[in-house]
Amino acid sequence: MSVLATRAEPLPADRLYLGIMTSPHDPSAAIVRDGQMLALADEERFTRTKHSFGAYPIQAVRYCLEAAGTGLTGVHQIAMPWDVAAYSGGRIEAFYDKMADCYDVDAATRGWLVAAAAGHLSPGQPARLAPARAVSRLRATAVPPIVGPGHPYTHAFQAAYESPFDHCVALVLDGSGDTHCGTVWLREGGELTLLREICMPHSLGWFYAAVTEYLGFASSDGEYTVSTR
Amino acid sequence: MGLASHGRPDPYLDELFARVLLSDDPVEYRLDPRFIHYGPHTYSGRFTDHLPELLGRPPVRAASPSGNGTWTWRRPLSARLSALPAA
Repeated sequence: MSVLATRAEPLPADRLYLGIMTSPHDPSAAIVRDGQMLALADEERFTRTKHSFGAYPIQAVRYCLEAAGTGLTGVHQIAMPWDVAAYSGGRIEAFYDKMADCYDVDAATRGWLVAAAAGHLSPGQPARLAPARAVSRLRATAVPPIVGPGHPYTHAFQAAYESPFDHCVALVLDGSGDTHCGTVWLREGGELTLLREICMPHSLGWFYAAVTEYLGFASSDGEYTVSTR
Repeated sequence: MGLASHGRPDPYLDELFARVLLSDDPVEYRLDPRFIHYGPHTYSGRFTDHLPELLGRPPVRAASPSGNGTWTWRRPLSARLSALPAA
């Protein structure tokens, strides 16, 4: 049985929702009300460093809040494209521990796996999910509730609901997101149903990144140079 | 236009990729994790030393000059990579 999050709870529309993308690459923020995006910003536009690898999108968050004329306390919820509950509850870490148990993994590789392969699996990750740095740097007194329906669901939602089709299939082939790297979804009207799933370590995206680096380009950047037929 | 468009199908690369990308039917696939996850990562955090061993050449260094065989290696490999997951 899948542990993948397959739906997001309906929310009151007339509130402010702040989206924060923390990731090894391309951190960003957006703010939404009544289904309308009020502001969107990538951190790299402020840092002037392409992809802003490893950065927290603090300047993007600040820009979005200012554009909406509010502070962090005016936000109803913060949304993140990760399965927040699974990270905070240790389920993600347990998954990768179990994955490592399935193979003959030496200690050095195990350390690499935890520290690098799934960099957001380190014990500090829950703190990274919670925008503690934003709280201090924005001089906020409290953090709004943080929700995250899961990475594959987020990709599928965007693909399916930005399409003009009420009935369609969405294919997500990612490097990795939470525990998954491939999913197939069916959109039927307002419902998004998970049809198929592929879990780590069987990631086409990671293999693509591996060969991209093997060919002398940086991963999460140079893929577009090797691709395109 | 990316490098892949300059490459040509290469049965030898098909054979090598089939050792990484394991597939018993047209839908399901698995990756042998030794090439990405499990093993020494001398050159990159993205692949183990098993990958250059499989491909028979050391990794291309970033900003390698063209004309030394680098591009003639990059093109077919890029083309094969962009043909994933078809074998």
